[in-house]
Amino acid sequence: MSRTARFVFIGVAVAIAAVAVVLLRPESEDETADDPSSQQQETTAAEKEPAGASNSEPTATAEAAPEPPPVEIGVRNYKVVGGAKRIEVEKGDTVRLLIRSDVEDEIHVHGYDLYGNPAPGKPARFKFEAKLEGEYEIEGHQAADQGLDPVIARLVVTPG
Amino acid sequence: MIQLAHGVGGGRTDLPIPEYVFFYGAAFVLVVSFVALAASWSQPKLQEPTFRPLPRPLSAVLLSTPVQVLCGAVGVFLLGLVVWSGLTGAQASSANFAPTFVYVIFWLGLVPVSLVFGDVFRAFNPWRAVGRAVSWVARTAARGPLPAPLAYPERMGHWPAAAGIFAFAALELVASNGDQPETVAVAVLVYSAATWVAMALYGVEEWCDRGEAFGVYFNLFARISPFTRRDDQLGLRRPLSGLAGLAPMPGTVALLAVMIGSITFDGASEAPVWTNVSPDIASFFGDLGLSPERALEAAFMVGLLLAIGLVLALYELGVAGARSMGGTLSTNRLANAFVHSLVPIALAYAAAHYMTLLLFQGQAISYLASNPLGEEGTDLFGTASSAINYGVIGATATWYWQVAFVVLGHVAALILSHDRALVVYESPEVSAEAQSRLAVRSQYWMLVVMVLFTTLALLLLSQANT
Repeated sequence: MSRTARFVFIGVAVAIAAVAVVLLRPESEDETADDPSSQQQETTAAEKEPAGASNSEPTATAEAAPEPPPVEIGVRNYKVVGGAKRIEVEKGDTVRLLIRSDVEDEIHVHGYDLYGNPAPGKPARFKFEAKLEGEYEIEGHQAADQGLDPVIARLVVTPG
Repeated sequence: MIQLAHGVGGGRTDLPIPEYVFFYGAAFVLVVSFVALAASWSQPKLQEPTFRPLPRPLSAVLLSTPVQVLCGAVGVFLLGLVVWSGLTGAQASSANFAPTFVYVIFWLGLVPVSLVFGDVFRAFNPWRAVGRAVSWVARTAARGPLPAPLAYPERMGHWPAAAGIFAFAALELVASNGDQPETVAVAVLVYSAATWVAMALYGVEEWCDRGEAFGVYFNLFARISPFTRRDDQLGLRRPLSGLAGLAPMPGTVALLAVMIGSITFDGASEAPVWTNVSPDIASFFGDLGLSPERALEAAFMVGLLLAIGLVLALYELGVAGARSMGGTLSTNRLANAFVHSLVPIALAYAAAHYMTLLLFQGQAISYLASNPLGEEGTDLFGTASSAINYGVIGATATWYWQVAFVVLGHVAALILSHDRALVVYESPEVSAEAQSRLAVRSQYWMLVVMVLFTTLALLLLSQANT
């Protein structure tokens, strides 16, 4: 290969690198504003509020710094009401779940390996710090035994 | 690994790589590619086998009969354990030894082992061990040499291996009960029976070299390793040079297409591109009279075949492009000449896609080994209550490793492909200058194909679970 060709290829490589740095840097800064994941978080947060409002617990007013209300999941006849939701949080956030079921069940938060046992009139509550990144399934084990889709929600923990 | 989502590896799913990681990765691949073009060397460096023997005592010990018998016995024991626990143990894929051992420890775990240490699986291959033991017993009983096996038909080449890997991928990704312990055990029994019949027909070593799917599969990755064996001697070679020594045969291109295509499908099946259309394909098969479960399997089979077809088409495109640059080589010769450069691509796909599954679900073998049948109260090694630690690697580190694997695979593929081009166009009728020009120009096309493969890998990583 001729020297000129080598220089041309190196030049193209440098040009691509330069263009990539220039194009990507401002874009990634702009995108923090309308990044799809942060949008989803907003909607999740929006969903949380009415759910919390309908469930106005006296503890919420008693606390000085009110925590965000728990994400509520309803299970009716082993099926999750409204389909399995994605619960998106950042690493380090406190995750609070309130799971109501009209049947006795065992709820398993995968990865964190937490278990709760809701029963009619007695919801299962979870409160934990999102320490592990990744996507984890939250399952109802009774549904799995019945041959139904056991996933009642997905917990998505993104790097903070 | 969607079909196994609720059983093997259902714990943590990778987050898709963010857009900026995707674009930086893609840009980096392009930069590296042009640097590779500029750095192109004019004398082949990998085509001649190199061999530096390791200390003699080491070879003597590792290749001694007792060690070979011991390794074979370990392999046979594990094969037996998989079948026994699969057939008699709890039929929950997450509580039984068989699915995690076969799909994670064996299938995924032996890939990095082969990559670093060479063809270790050959020593532990249970089918080879049984074949050799049976042939030894038969020789002893007959007090003389056994009748020679049939000649391995040249046209069969790597086709049995390609079919075996395809069947494995279909079991893993298509069959709805592929993660059930009993299914795994039965599949192992069927494969073992077929393998031993083939070994009886064509000879144990001959079948291991070309037909035995897993032996061939791990051997391909082992060819990247610097460790090799020559007769009774272990030694070192240039990394990647083992791949240059791969003798392509009928079916080799298909084998690589199955390897890359099945991982492509596994990645794509979690992405909207597939989850949006698969219900429609399934309902088409449902209309044909299949039960919902069978219809879904049929749809997934279509997806798997499409992915393999896509990989094959991409590669054939590169070959056709290289062919159009001139020279007298047939398309078939060219396809065979460059097929070894797909091995690092296959490795990159596997590493990027399955790294976390191996890191996380691999830990499960600790408690499954203590309680292989998944029974209450069994705890052989005191580890039955251990759990998987999902904190060993974070999401950001996972992304960077995934992209790094993809880029490294790309670079290795370019090196192999360029080095081969320097010898493939050698011809007494053409001047050296013309040869070298052809070699360089043929590589533009291969480069385009490699960039497409690599971008596809990054795209799959960025689309997962969205």
